[in-house]
Amino acid sequence: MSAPARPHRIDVIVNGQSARVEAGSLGTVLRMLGHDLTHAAVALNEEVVFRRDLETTTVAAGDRIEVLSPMSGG
Amino acid sequence: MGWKLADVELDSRFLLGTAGYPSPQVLRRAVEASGAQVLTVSLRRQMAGGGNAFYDMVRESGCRVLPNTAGCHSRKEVLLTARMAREVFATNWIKLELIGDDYNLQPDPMQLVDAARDLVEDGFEVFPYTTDDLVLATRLYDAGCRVIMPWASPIGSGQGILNPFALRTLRARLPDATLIVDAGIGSPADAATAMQLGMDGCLINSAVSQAADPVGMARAFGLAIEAGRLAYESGIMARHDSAVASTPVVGTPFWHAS
Repeated sequence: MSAPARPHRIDVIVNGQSARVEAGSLGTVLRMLGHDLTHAAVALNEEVVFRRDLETTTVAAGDRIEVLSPMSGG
Repeated sequence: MGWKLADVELDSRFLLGTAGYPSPQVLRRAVEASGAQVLTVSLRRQMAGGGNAFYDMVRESGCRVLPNTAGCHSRKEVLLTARMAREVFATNWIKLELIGDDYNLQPDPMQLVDAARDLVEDGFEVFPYTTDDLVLATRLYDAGCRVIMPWASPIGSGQGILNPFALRTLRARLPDATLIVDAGIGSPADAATAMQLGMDGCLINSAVSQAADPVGMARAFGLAIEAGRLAYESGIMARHDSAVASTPVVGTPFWHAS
């Protein structure tokens, strides 16, 4: 009997900070890191990822992710 | 009286910034007191576990949002920020800020027009923050910006209108553009003056949020902007170099004759 497959963990950069995450979709990864994507915009390697594509876009090692939220502004 | 900003009918000509208020409660009350129907907002990195209280308040206000590209220094940054703002705020309005000098927060005229063109081609309604330079404003208008936002003076300086001649010139030479004074307004008198020069509206943030009483100041600006516009539409009298008697001279008593 083979041992259950261990989760594949990768290193990514989220909002400028290093994070080791379980490989998966962008939406899953960000929610696991505690992000609320209800009113957020996400960029992957400096390209916008549309909301509808968050669950079908796969995160790869070394990816740079930005998660932005509404903030006050002038 | 109603007016049109881009394709939207509005009553108020006051666009209000949402940054730097003493508290969210004061911001909420200032928005109400201002009568503004458009609020500027921005995007910043989300902290995991943070809430959405600010945006909830903005949405509850019923105001339209005008997202900005504050902090951008290149066309690439502008385009990415604008596209992300469109995802979050579900609007194609974008206040284009592309800074060329960090001391003055002056826009970069060498990149601004190209950035505006990028955004227009991508489907945005672009509100470019610019100086009061006529040629630059004209190029922005030609690039497809129906709304131009010249500064009165540097952002947050409160110095008021440093060059009224330039704003008057913009009004005369760009009669079909919507002109919103953005940045540098310090007092309601400045805003009234801008409106009397023929500006279509004022975007104000620091002069309200930094006031001792932001709620009172928001109302003061609302009144000043309305008064200034009404004055412009009513036709301000011409200036004279000498006095012109206002009391009729016909029937002056005899003892005034000698």
